[in-house]
Amino acid sequence: MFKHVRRREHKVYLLFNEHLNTVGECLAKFKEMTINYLNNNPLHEENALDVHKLESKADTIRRNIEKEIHGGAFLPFLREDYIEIAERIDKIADKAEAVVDFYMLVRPQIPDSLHDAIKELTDRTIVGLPHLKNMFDLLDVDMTKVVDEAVKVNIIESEVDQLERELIKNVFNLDIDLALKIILRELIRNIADISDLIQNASDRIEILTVKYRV
Amino acid sequence: MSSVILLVAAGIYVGWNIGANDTANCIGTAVGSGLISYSKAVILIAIFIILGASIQGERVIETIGKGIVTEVIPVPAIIIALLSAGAFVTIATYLKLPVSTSQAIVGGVTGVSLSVGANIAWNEVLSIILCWIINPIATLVIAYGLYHILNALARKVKRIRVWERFITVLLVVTISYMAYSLGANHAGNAVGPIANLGVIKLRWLAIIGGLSIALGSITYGHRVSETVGKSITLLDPITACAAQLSIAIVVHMFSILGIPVSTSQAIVGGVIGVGLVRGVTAINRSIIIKIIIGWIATPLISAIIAFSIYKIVA
Repeated sequence: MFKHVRRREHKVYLLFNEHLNTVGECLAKFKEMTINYLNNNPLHEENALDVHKLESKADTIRRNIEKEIHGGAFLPFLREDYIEIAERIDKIADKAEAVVDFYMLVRPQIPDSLHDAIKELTDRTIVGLPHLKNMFDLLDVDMTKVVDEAVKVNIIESEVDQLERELIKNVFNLDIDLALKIILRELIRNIADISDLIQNASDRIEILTVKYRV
Repeated sequence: MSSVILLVAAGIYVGWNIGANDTANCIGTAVGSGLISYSKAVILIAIFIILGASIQGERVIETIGKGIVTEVIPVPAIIIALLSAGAFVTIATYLKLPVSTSQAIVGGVTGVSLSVGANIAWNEVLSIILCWIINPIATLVIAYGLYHILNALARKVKRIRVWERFITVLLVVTISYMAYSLGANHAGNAVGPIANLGVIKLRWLAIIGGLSIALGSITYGHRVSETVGKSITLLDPITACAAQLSIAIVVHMFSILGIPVSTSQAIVGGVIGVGLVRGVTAINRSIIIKIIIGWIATPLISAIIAFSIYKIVA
């Protein structure tokens, strides 16, 4: 009677893995795009297209996840949790795409003195994703260990916040136009938002484990 | 022969009412949480209702048929007892009120026996009333303990998919056991008065009772499920299973003792029991008042209706 439900759940877990891997690839391409943009390497345009494609792929996988869940996977009182997790993971790819669009449409002239700091911020903001993936994998291994990975994600998010603040402070200390300062601030905030979104998704997974342990 | 057919038909009518009214008590958790569709749940409980009635339904049948009134009463009186209780429950089902068929049938049998002037075993009636009072209290205590046991077991599970499987099995066992207990206890409500005549063997009466309850579940059980099911499913699976298992255990125990009890009132005790675990004062004064009114009003109204109709007919 319930075999079809277990098959559907297994499919959802596979889709989640694929979703997280796709978002991971999207963030890797986003980082590559940022470095190429800062180095004036024309490859950054190809990277931008790759980010768009990967974001679309992530969207498709998320819709498939929701379709399977609404089709009957998991106990109903838990379905909204899984859907929420899928949506929050998807928002990470959406934000990476938004930052890429910002680079491509606004074409901010980033001073050379900020290149290393922007690269560092970009690098740190995406480093939480492997921990998010570990959290999801641990759900079916040992739920009690999920909180350890959540702590790591929170630490990374705090570090990114700190970098963001310092970078914005440095921007407003530069001798450049106010308009450019505002544009750069927006860019920095958007990059930092990626780690916030990773933390949001991590929080949701953590809440799911609390629900199971009640 | 025609009177036996009429009696059986009346019994089937009461059984059908019981199935329609009490289905929600069994499947509220599982259907409300979406684990199993309503149609599949109803088939599952129909099977276990028939099993419960057939295997352990005779004791309650004997109590209602030969325990409350110690002599044989006229066939019309038995038909009136069944029909008045049945009509009372039909109206309650239509109004989506989970009333106690056990209390209605005991009231009906007592009322019609008084009308006939038969000897009533008042000690037996008082014992039954005492058990009605013990019923929600016992489920409260057992639900409280069961919650701790089930929660401790669930916490040992570290993998999410194993946890979900554990809950699935628990829910299926819970609804099946509840249906079994319902069949074992309520078959007597449906056909117990017929046992008074001694014309049909108790085993056959039990099977008829079980089949009629199952039929009521399948054909009209969805109506009360909407209201009762929602109140149960506000609980998480562990809490809901603890509450429902406690009901199944207590109702089963009373079936073995031959006492007809109310599953609706047992549910209230079960839900309060698990509510107390969380430190939440789940005791709602209006619900307590409704239970007390139920203890008094249901058998009283049913007795008055049966008494009056027999007097008019006679």
